[in-house]
Amino acid sequence: MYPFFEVVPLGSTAKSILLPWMPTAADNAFLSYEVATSFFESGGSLTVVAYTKNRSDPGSEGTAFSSFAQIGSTGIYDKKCENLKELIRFKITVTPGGGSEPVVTQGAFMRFLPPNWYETA
Amino acid sequence: MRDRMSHGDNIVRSHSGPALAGRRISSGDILYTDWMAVTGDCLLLRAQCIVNSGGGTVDITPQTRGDEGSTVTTVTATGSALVLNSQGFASAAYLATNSTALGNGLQRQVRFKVATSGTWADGSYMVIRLLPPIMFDSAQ
Repeated sequence: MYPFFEVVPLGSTAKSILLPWMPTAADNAFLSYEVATSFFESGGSLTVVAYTKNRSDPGSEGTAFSSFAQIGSTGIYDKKCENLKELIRFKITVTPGGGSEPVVTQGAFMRFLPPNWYETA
Repeated sequence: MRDRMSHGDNIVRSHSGPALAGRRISSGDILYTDWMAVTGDCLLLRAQCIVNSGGGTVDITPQTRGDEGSTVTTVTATGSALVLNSQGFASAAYLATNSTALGNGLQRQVRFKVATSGTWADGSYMVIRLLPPIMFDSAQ
């Protein structure tokens, strides 16, 4: 589990960053992250995409899992990811919104929760 | 006593495996998992109905306590409780707040109660499992 970290849009356009690859521990997993607090002007957003690939596959991404869904009214978002390969990683994209507040006042505190690994039944 | 391993009906075990492996449930069944040591005050619990053969509803409830022999309390869900009533997965979050009321977040040990409700056809059953519980400390 990552500790909380801050994501801030640096500049007026969307910025993305990839976290390191980590090995998978089962065929499938629920991947989740928590947003403790955030502030975005209208149109701003924080999005997360997970990728999976084998070590032998070329490229920095791979098969994507997007559209993490909020669990109820909590700040936790999760995604069921099936048929995982050897590795997974996350991509975080921060998009600033337009408004009176400066871009650097927008952003979020977030963390990734431990994956919920499971084999296919 | 913290994280005690004991014999008998109060075994405190790790939670690295599934909280409940695949299990057939019929109307009227009530079961409890073993107690396991808590590793955070919040809980994210996911369950799967692998087979639904005319079953009604399976209610999964986390219970927590301080030490062995202390009061057992149902942990309050943040939002909807964890319920299986069709094939597939269900998730629930149990997030601790700064309230000191019992049931607000996890204490030292946790276990899971599995019970049935609703209408079950004669001879119906479900096969369910609980994924490993995800425990972490609250952020707010």
